[in-house]
Amino acid sequence: MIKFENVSKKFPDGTVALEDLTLEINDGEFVFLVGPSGAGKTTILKLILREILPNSGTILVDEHDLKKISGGKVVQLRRKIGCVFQDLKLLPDRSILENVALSLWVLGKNAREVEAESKEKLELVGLAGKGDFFPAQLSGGELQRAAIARALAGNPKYLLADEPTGNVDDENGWKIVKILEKINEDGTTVVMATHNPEFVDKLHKRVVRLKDGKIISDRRGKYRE
Amino acid sequence: MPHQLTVTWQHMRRSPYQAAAAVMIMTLTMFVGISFLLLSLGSQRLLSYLEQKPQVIAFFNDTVTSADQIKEVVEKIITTNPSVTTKFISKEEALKIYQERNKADPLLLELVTANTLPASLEVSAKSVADLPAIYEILKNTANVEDVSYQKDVVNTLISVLDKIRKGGLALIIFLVTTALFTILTIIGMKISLRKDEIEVEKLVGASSGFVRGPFLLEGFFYGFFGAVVSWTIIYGIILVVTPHLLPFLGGLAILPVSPVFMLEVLGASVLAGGIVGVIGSFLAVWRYLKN
Repeated sequence: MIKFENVSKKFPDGTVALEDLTLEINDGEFVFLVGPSGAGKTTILKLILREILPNSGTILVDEHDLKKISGGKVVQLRRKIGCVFQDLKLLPDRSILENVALSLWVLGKNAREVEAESKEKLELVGLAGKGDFFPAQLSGGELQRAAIARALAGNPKYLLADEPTGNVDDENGWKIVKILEKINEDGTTVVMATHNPEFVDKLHKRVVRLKDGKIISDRRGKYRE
Repeated sequence: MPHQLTVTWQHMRRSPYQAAAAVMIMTLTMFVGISFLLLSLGSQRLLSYLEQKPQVIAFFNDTVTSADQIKEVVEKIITTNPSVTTKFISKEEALKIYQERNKADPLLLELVTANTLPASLEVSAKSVADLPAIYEILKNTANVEDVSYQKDVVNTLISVLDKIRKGGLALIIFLVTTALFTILTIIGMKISLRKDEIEVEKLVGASSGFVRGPFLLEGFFYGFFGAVVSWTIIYGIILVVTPHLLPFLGGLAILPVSPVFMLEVLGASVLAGGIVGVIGSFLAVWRYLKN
């Protein structure tokens, strides 16, 4: 379970990203975070991953109080979370297979396990034949799916996806959303930040609408209601 | 660990010039280190050899022909210094020694007879400090024509070797410091170049050891390769020069150098080089990879 209690986040330049936000995401849920740019979607994902810390309030992810943990506990937390970053963060000098494998090496798996699971995840996202390709050789949609494969490696409990359909056409975007839906059906909690109404409307999942760092609505349904 | 080794190898392979620079500076450092180690051990052996040799030799005039004639003085020396050993060399024995040493030169052999050479008494002490008393006794003994005294030679040698050791130590400290800074700089550059990769590793849950391991291993390998290369060069030089030095230094029991001893030197060098490399990379990791 992910729980935000009265969380506020203000950046050093004075920008208020979140203001007294309270949010609870249960295990197994599929939650869309929607809203315009600067609404606080990415900040929520970064806080869950403990890339940044809140100025006030409490964030709990399972047993971890993110303001209090450090060192090894942060490592444990991040191993529970797969993340598709907005800028993907695929390493350009590594093949797609090696990029996916990275998430498994950090878990201490052996070479055979790493290779088998990396290939399995690439197959899951429809990139089975592209493991030896480098990021520069793939299209935008393929890169997004490669990033999802890396996020899924190690079977994390939570999957955070920051605008995973942001730079792809509708067809590829829809493929990505279907992959995330399937992952969610398999038991992974998915939190997806997006400003694409089409995918949100079709899936009919929980939608948390944000504006200026505050939740303006939180219910199952469509992008705008 | 196999993955860490693979990553380390990739780090080194993808920046070969930096790796070569690090290995070369470590090779130079270890070359000087091993050279001074061997020089120090060799000189220690030389000193021991010299100290075991007859250090005071009294040469008698022609009236002394047998050991019985100098019994009193030998007893006096032994009474004052119980640890000494003495050996009387008669004229005939002196001739035999002379003939043995100059057997390759018939002209020299023809010129010398037993009567030409003096009888002598060789006195060996355990410590150089005992020599002055023995020297005094022999100098004041009747029928002694001359006393050869090695104290000054040994002391000069000790002084020279001490200076060489101190100079060597200073040079080694300088080179180790240079090597540390070189490795620190190279690993630091690599950390900066790989900051995106490090960021991703951390975000996907890599432990501190996972992130730092390859950099520390890289430092170790620079030291390891530097030690192995320098040892190989030095051992090669030793093997080449040994046949040429044996006629001069064979009596010192230094040459030929034992392969087992050289393997021990290799082990110690690899350990020392590895430690220097790891310390250099640890400093870089500590400086550039705080959190």
